[in-house]
Amino acid sequence: MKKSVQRGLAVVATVGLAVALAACSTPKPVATGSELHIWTMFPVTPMADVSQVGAGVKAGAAAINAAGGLGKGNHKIVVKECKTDFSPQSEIQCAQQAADDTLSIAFVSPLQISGGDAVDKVAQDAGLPVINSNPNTPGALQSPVQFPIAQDVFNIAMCTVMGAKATGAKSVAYGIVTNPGTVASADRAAALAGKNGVTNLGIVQAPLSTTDIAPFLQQAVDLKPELLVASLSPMLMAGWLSGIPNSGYKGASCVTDELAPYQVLVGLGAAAKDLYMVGSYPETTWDYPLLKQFNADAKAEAATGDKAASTAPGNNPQSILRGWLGTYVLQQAVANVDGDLTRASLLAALNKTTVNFGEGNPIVPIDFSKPNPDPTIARLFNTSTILKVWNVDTKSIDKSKVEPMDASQLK
Amino acid sequence: MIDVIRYGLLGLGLGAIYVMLGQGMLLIYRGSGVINIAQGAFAMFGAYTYLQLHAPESLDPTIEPGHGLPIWLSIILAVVITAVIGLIVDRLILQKMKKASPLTRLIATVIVLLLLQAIASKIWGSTAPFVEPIFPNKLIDLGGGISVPETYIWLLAVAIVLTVVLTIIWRYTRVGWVTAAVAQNERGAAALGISPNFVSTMTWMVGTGLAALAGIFVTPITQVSVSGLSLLIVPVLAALVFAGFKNYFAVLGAGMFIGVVQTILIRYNHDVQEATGIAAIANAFPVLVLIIVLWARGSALPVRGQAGERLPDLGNGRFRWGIVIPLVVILLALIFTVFSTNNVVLGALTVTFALTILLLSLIVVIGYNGQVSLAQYAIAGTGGLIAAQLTVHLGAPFLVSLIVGAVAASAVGVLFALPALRTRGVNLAVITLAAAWAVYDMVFTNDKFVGGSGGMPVGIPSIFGFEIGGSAHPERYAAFSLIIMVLAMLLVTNVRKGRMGRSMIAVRSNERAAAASGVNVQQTKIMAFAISGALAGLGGILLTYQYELAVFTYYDSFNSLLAVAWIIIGGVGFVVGAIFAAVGAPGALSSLIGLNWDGFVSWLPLIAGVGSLGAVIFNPHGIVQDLAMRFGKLDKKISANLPWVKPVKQYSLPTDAIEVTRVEPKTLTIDHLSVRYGGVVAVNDLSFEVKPGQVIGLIGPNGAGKTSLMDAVTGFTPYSGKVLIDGKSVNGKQAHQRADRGLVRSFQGVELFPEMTVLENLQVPQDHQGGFGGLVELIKPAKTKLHPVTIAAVRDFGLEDLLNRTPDDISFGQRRLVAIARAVAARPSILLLDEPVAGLSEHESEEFGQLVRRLADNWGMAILVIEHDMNFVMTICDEINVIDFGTYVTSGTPQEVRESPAAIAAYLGDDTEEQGADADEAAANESKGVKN
Repeated sequence: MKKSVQRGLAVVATVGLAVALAACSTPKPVATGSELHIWTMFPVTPMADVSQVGAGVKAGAAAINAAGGLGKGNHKIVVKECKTDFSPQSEIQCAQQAADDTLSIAFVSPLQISGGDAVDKVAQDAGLPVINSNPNTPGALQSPVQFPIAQDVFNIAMCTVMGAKATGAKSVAYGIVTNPGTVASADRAAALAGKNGVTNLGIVQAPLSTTDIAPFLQQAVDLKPELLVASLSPMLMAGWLSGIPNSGYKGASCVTDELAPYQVLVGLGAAAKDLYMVGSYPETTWDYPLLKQFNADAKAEAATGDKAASTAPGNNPQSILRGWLGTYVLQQAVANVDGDLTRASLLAALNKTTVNFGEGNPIVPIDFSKPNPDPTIARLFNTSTILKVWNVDTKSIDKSKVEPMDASQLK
Repeated sequence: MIDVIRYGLLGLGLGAIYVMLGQGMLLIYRGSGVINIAQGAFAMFGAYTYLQLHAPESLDPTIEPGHGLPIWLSIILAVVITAVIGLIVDRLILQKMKKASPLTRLIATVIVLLLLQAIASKIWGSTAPFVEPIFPNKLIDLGGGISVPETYIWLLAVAIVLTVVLTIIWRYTRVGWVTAAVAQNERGAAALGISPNFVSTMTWMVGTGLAALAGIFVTPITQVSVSGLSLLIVPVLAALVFAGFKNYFAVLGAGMFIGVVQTILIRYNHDVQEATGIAAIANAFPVLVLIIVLWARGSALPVRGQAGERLPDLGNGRFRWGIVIPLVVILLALIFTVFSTNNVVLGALTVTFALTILLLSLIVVIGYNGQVSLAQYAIAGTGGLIAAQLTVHLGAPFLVSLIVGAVAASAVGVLFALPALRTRGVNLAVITLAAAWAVYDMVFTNDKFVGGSGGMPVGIPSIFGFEIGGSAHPERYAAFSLIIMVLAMLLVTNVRKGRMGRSMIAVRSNERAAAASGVNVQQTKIMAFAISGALAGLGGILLTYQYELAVFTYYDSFNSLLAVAWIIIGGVGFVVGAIFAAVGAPGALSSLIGLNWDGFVSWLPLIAGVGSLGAVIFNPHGIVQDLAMRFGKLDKKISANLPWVKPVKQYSLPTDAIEVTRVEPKTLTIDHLSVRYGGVVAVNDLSFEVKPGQVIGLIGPNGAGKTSLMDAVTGFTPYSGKVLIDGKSVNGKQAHQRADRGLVRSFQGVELFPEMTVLENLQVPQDHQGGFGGLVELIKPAKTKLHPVTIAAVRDFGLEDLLNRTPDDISFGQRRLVAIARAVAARPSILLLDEPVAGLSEHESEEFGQLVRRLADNWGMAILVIEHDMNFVMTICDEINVIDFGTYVTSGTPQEVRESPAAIAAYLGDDTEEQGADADEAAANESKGVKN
């Protein structure tokens, strides 16, 4: 070999070796600052276990720590999970524990079901920011410390408008489980129907203690709607969806994405056609940069042994995403913090933050500094809803041809 | 009409579910005497097991389809596995609780339900799997716009086949006969060599296997979830009660009726809600059925009740000021210092105190009065809701809302008492559970009553301007709740010690004996529910006002069931048991463990279930009773060293002379009295009198109608003819009213009140004569005072040293004396004694005879005695009436009756022949010069 070639190869090898050594020896960024806590909350009972929310928060927090920590202080984030039993007392207790923890700076993606506005009151009194809560109470929408970024899991309002748009339906009927939250949601949905040229034929309520949902389904079907919208507990939703093929109903159905039981949809096969879902977040399997980041973080969390972080379709990955997005917003808000990172400084920062969810993402940016045009809601949050449709052939959830709509588009 | 038919057909599915679950429950009840509240959970477990075997991919999407077993094999294996679990439950849990009360065993099945749910959740998670239909599932068009899913027809067919098979086995096979024998008379069956334990296990295995089958067939309609089928227990129980727990065809009819009608009513839920604001009217249907059936079928007559049945032990009602006050002071100090900034601990303490008060309500109604109420959470929620409505809509101050809410809850408690007047035991438990179930769906989840999703804004409670709200001042609210709890405990102990408590315990032990002692059984039950309702309401109000916004989703029927489970574990007869029980409830002190131990919460239901089962098996009277036994000596040692703790003073009889005046003289007249039981004439047109100072005997062979006559005269059985006291008819008067008029009886079976001391037994008859004193005693207990008549009876009967002992601690003969003394303590003018010397020795009978004679001669009582001991009767009676087959035979002095051919033929014949043979032998021996 010519000497010039040998020298060239030696240079390349040396440079390569240098680069390799640099890569090996450069220490990975770690959180070097003091420990701060973020709290999250979700129910864990024999009836329902939504540990996926906690897994998502932990996945996001781990990624933040791995990237050097949170904020200018490079704080190490420790996630405190609080598991409730669906009772108001347990939810309020969780909120209190988060509020009493002197190291806690935020309540992230708490899934509140029954605690009412008492939970928000605890957070308000403690000045504890609540990021990405489930806005199922008036307090959550009006509170100065709440920063929801998505719809309530039981919110079926957009099913009415977007589902009708997708299917051309002119009439709608609802099947809901009876509790004050879902009733209020259904009333809002019914009001929206009228404003958007869809006739509300009726709201059928099933008590929480219902076992056989078929008679209630039949009542809704008897109203002869062109679109059937359901907001039920996960236990009843399975019975509702599997009962539709035999109810005589031939039209389209719409539910919220987090309540659609994947296994049941797979099992129904072709009978699950014309099923639409609404949600504030894209499906975790869709191709967006944000979701790539999410999937990587979730995978890393699952690799630590946290089975709840598995994004397998049967594990309700939307709930993991819900949890993770809370930490995503937290990180963006912290970038606007002046001075030390505390509850107060974080609250101030949140109030001037515009959260950007990345390019091409169907979740529109949210500017928390802007007031909401709806006077009953304190600030803007993600009222943008994505319409999805179940694909019976691929057994996956696809994006509907109807573009995401924002609530501001509705009259 | 078409809608009625369509929804009626849909109701076939629900009805079939009720029937399939109900048949298994009936089988288990017949074979083991246990109501299996966990039947729905067994169905759920069977369904999940079947899915795991046949379609594992439905539970775990990472498994490829096609790896499951064939349907038929999966069904068989799932049924067998579930049956084995049933075997384990029976052998390892219920058979170890043979001596526990039926209520405790029912609670054990509640804990089994929780355990099965926890285990299923751990194994299979909570994600909803898809269950493929087993039966063909197309829609069958019946024309005229009516159609029905084919599956429902299949389910109905299965329910019918199951009913027929069970009926055939029950009636025509040895297995069925053996099970029926055990169901009707366990001891008798055992005497014939049939093992009740074996039958119990067998029925549990088959019953739970049937539950699994039901779950497998039904879940393609309902889909499967950990809790879904468990919630069905209420309407299934309603079907069983409606069927009277009689036979399988009755359950088929009842289950289908309830399922079909309920589904038809679902069609009109919305219309009723629009018109009235009340939701879920269909859920009220099982309750309505129960009320009508139990009212129509029930009896207002007091029954022997749970004679022979072991009820949980009771505490003695001592309020230990010397220990309570220092503890309260220490707790208050902790609240205002160590915990003052720890909102979580303060919140948990408040919940614990409030729940203690709620559970105290169960001590009154179940522990003291023996009435099983499974609706306490519903009553608590109602109290809280009414108080909240007053605050929110009328601006009422907190204290006013508190008081009015508690009073309103008391009234609601009285409503729940009404079924108790005509039914008892398991039936009462079922109806109260059904009512709680209905109230939850109709009221507590109805935004018309409970406000929107944010809750009702009850604001910050304050007392005369001093804010005590749990949000802003959690330490003040905790302290307030603690003080209310202590006052509630004091009230309950006062109930126990006072006349109200004695009446309640008397009714709990033996309604019949209580009524005979002058206790108004119905009024006592109502009072128990009223006090219990007020306590439950108080607890509910404290929970409602803990934060500024009140939600009511907490007050579901399942929590009502759990509350009974907790208090049984803690000790339903002990005030301190309520504290133990409250600590373990959701949101209370034990939740602090879960909050601080991440991995603990998901295991908590399993740990709690296993722990609760252990407590219930090994401490059927509650943890407190066990602790009291184990640490009793330590307690005495500690108390002895606390100078401010005074020793308990035992009652001792006054020593001064008692001048006994004669009782008010009254004559009992029985005028053409007849008693019929269906077609059988037990007493046929009897007439006689018993005058003051007389002892009249009533003799006749077994089955002659003597006790029936006594039951009729004292108001325990219907009759025709007249019973007059001093010429005034007492027809239509209840037993306690006749006792009030001076007509008192004793019982063949002694029937003392075993949970009370001899002293308390004697106090019961004199309690009812005190007017409103019982209410005053709730606040200020009265000192123990016996009426001079009672004191005289105690001295006369030699019972001075027995006063502070319980009936279990004294001999049979002494118990008999106490029973008579109790009857005398009612100050009767007319005393009826039913076989008073049965089981006594000759010497004891003789002494007793002298006693009875003194009651007539010295006190002037008119006494009627039923006895088989002829020496006793002949010695003490002024006159004797002889009856046979309910009919008058003869009457006269003892000598006249002894010589009466009719009396000899009817009853005395053997004795007379023996006496005649003895006389002949004596004469023969005399002639031979042989001495006797």
